[in-house]
Amino acid sequence: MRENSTAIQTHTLTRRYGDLTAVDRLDLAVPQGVIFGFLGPNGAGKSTTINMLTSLLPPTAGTATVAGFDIKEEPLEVKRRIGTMPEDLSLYERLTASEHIELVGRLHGLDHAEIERRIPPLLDLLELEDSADKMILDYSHGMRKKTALACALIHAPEILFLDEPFEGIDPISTKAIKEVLRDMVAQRGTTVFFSTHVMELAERFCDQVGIINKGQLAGVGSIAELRQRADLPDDAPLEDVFIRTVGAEVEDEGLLGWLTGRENVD
Amino acid sequence: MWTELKTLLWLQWKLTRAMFRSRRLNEKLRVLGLIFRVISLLFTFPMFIVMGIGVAVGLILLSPRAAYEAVMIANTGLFFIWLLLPASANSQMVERFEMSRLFPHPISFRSLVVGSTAVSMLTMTGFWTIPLLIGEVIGLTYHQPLAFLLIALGALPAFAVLVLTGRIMDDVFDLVAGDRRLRALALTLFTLPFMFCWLGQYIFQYADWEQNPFLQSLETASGPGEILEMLGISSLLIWVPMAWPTAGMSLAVSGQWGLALLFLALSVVGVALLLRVHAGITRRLMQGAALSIGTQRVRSRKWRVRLPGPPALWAVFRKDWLYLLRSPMPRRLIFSSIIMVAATALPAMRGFAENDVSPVLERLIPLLVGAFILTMAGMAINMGLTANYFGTIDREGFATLASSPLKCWLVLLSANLAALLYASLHVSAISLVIAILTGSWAILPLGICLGLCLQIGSTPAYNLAAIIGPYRAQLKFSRGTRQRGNAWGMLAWVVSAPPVLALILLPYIFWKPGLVITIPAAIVYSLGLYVLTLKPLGRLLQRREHAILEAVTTQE
Repeated sequence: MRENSTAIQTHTLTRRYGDLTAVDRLDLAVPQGVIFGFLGPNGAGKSTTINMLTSLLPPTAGTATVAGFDIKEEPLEVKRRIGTMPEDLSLYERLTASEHIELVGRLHGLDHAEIERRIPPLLDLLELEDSADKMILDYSHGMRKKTALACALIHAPEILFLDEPFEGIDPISTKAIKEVLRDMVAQRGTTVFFSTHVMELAERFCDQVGIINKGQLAGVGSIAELRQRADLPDDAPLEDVFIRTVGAEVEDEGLLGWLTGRENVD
Repeated sequence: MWTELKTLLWLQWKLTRAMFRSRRLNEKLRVLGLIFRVISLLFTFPMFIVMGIGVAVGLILLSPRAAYEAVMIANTGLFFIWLLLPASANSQMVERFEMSRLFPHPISFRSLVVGSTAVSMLTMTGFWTIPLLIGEVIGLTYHQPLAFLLIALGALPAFAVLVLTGRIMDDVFDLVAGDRRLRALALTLFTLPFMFCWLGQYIFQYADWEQNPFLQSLETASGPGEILEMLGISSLLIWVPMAWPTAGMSLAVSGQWGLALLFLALSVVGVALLLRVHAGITRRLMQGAALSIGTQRVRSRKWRVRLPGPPALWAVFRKDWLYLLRSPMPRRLIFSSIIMVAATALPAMRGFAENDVSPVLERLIPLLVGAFILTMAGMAINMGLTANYFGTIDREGFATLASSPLKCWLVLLSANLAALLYASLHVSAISLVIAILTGSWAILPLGICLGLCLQIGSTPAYNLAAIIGPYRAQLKFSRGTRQRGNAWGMLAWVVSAPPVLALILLPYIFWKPGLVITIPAAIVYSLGLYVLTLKPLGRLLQRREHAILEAVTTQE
């Protein structure tokens, strides 16, 4: 990481697909050594933002630095310092989990002995040791996710980008992964940037959250700060903060009376 | 860069080795499968060497000029094989080395360009191309030993052109993999060279051998070598990029040293250009070109018509029809029908106009041509829509139907009705075009009747094929399900089409009044067969729901 206490910094970062603006002038600063939750409704631009920050997709306008390196000008330097778990997982299905993790370790320049040393505890952490010699083709969605996560961790990155990391992963593994991530943040100053829809997870796990809606940053800060900005009491759940911040209106339940039975009660 | 290259080669080695991994749970079957694969490889590699020796011996036996012509034809064939193979055979045996999967990791652009090219060499296609090229070098050197260096040097850009062509095709598929329409377009475009080769045969078939002195002189040729020399196809093939290095390596054999050097230089420029194209596509891919493919908005009209029968059936039918229209399959079917009409009806017409045809033949040929086109079109429609039901109409969305209380025979009926509606439009259009082209208006009602009977009567067999061998055509490793599905589809045609063809064509040829009985009989046969088999097939579909879902969704 270049001398800078900001792990991720974006300046009017924009991505357009034809007429559609997926990410619109995003200004974001994520300090080093925090767990940052990136929240937003479906199609809000979370994955596009992660794709841009991991140098997989060039921005249409604006700039961003990750670990002090420009995502557009120095993509290789960015990729050397980050670990990613992309939305589509991008795995070679005919390899085994061990082989895939080894591939990523090699691409990050780890020597064979080091890779051999690191793989077993990772497989153990993710409870993949029994399936390590099976092809990824035969894995369930959760197991594929765990493999992609192991690939993102093998080189002990400075910054981790995880797209919906715990979706489809069992609670035991989720707990173990969260503990490891917390240790990485506390001991090594790793920054974890992850997108999620699960408010309870963000509330309990994140130091800071950013809320994106229709491509624009609707709010950023600690949960307490966001509560304050949304004029909500200190014990208000993040769900309410989220709804208030994105300005969403809950459908009139009367219209769903056929489903909820509320009209009958009234 | 070397470390990265080593890693990419290691990856390709692992992917190739995975070819021997079996997913069978039964230990004995797994071992048997492994033995079979090892034996097939033990036969395959010596076969490549034998082929190389055959090429060398063949060229030695020919005259220098004929050897040049033969090498030009062989290398153009290789070029077309490399052009198409990444899309089909390679990906069925070994998982594709998709560059885009490496993009999240720190790997340089240069390593990716060089590494992916090197990886393309280390494919099965690469392994069997090398002995053939070595055979060519030996065969050509026999005729002009002094030109050995030039021939060997020419073989290098020849191999490079082949490898880079295959690589670029792979790149293009990576580029369009996320977009079904572009993917279908790419597949259609890549079949064009073969279509043209097919159409090209008519030049020979319908050429006037008796009037043309050149063609007459071919009949006097003493052997294949002389025919090759007289045909001089190289003058046409020289426009194909692969011909430049080929000319570079083989023109010296006939003493044209200067021209050989010129073509060698040209081929080096060609290789550089191909490398540049590959680098350009790689850069575009690295910049997220595959991620940037846009979405398409479609019109959705409300369905206000109330049709008799279970409302659930029409709900599914509406879904099936929309799915079918939004699929690239109908456009592919229309395209192939146009080619087929052009390749069959037009030469038949020309034959009519120029030859003294007996009145009986004059009456029969339009029907036979029409029957052939309609049978082929019906087969294509059924292979594309009915046998490929889980690829075109119902993909992983079948899970929605499987988890609903809808009876499975209604699911089949709906899909079949959608295919029948499309087939009736397609068949009517073809019959009309053939009737106009041949001037035989009897084709129109008879063709429509034949087409629809073939569609209805064949449907049960194709339904069975879809249920037993469900597959999805994808540009990635699919564990042979695609070939299995195609094989079942072909078998379905063999079983179901002949009775209908016999009931309509034979009476027309031998005793026309019989059509009054045989046409209704064909309709009754087709409908009866369909009605009798629908519910048993529905039950079979229900029993195989899980296996089908697994086959269709695990490829995602």
